[in-house]
Amino acid sequence: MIETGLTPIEIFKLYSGNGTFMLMFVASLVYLWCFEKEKINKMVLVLSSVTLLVLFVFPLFSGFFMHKMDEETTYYRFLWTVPTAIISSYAIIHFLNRFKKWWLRLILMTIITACILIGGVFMYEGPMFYNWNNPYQIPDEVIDICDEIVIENREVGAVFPDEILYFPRMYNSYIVMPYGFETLQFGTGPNSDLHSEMTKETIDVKTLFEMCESRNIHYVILNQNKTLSGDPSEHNYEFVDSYGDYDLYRSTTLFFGQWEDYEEWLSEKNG
Amino acid sequence: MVLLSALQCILYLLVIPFCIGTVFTRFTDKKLNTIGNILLFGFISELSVFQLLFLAAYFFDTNLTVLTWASSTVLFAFALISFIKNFKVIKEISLPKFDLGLAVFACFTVYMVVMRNLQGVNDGDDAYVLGNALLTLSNGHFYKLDYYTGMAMNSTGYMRHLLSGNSIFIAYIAKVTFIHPTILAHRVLGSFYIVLHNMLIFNIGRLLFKKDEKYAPYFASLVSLITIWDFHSFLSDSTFILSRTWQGKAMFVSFSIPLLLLILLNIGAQEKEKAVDYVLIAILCIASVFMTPAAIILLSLPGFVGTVFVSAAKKKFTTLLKFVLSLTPMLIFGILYYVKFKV
Repeated sequence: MIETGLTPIEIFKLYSGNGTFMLMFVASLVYLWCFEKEKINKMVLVLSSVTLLVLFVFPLFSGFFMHKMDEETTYYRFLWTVPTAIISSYAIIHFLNRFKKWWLRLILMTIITACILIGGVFMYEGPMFYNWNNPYQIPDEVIDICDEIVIENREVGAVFPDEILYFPRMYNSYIVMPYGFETLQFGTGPNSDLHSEMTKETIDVKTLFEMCESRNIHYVILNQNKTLSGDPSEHNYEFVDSYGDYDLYRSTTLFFGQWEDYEEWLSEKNG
Repeated sequence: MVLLSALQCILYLLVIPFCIGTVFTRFTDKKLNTIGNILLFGFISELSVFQLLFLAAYFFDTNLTVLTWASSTVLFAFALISFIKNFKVIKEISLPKFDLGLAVFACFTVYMVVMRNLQGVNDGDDAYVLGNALLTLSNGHFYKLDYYTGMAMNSTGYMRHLLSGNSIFIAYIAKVTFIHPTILAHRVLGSFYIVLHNMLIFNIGRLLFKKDEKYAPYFASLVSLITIWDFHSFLSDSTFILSRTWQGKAMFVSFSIPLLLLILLNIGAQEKEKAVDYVLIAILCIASVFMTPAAIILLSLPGFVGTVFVSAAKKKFTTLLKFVLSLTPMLIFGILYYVKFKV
């Protein structure tokens, strides 16, 4: 999703990044329009793409989808319908095919490849890729924490920092969280007061841990870069261990057993 | 157990789709009878069948076990009947000629698969896709609990996802292969979809260069090169194809748009049109909604625009008419979306 308030042209610019591949795509369209002899290829590749691009920026069309259909943050997806890589590649091979000498083709192909490598941005160095080499491809700390806190055959409540919020339930669905990715994405959802406490630079230990205890959260996971204003052990949570950058705290008052033992535990607790 | 899981993956992702795909070889042009096309047509059909059964299961409020039995039975029967009826055509499958171009393209494909397995992806949408798959696998029910938190579902904000069966399909495949959904999606499905996407691109190349097919692997290699170097933004189709491969939106850009292109090119190239192309479009419509409800617009619109031009080129209005008729599943899904799932 992207921010709201952008015009189609701004979305197009955002989509195109540094613009080199979009430039190559436009050049490909022009080339194919001039030199493609196969009528169907020209119609399907060139005219369809141009029409879709014109529709994309056409105010009535964009206004309808962005505002009436409420797709403002996902309007960029219309650009997926234009197969830029396929059209650019077809035009390049078509262009090279015009030259009969193999060595000339080779030189041109080398130049084009160099242009792609220089003008392009290497995907696998993108910020969304991480070297998580466990079979699940999620952070190792999350797996270690989840293995530590999980209780067989029942759910367990835990609150996680934002940066690892969406991994635990991809690993184990018995881990129940007071708020999830919806809170992160839309800023709305249950327990938003707890979320705002968790995201403070200096955490008010009394407020946070009392909130957690009252909402049956067995474990609290905090990033070590947070400053704690107080001692969690004074608020019924004990430090368990550190996992990478995270500290794990466990409730000393909540029920950790199997549900069939709950009544017995409760009567013992109440004396 | 690992061997059994591997065999089940081969069965559900290769054998069943391939057997189903052979049904199309009876009707399509011989040049389309490639391993990639048969596998892809079969896989798209598998997704479509699953989508319909999933929606039935959801509306009848059954559970994953019932859906698993129903899907497996229908898919097995479909695959078996299709294979028995069509196994003779396997001899007629046109295999690509192995040359330098194909070797280069194979290297690109292997590289993309290796990179898929070497690097994890930090993407919040996995919280829905895999969180929901794991939750469904664990409790066996559809959308009873909030997949983000595990608490009772109390937000209507989730409804927009529910028309698409992709995360339930991951749960289904996880159930029959005994593989954790996250491992299954990140490693097995991610790798499989990349290979399938590349096969599709290669087959588009064969259609575009039908007079000289030796250029097809060079074309496909170039598409791979551009895709790998196309991280111009988080929004680009290439980013989705290579990073969020197993998610519905990525599947849509990997399969639906290129396959629509392939079908349109094929319709355009035929003097006498074949009904199978329009059947494929109808199946593609269902499979695309399986991937993302946004496909109701995102597939129909480019398909319509493309067909208008194909009709104009062929001077045949009936082509457009047949295409519009083949969009019927989209109309039904559109109504369903706005009546039942739109927030």
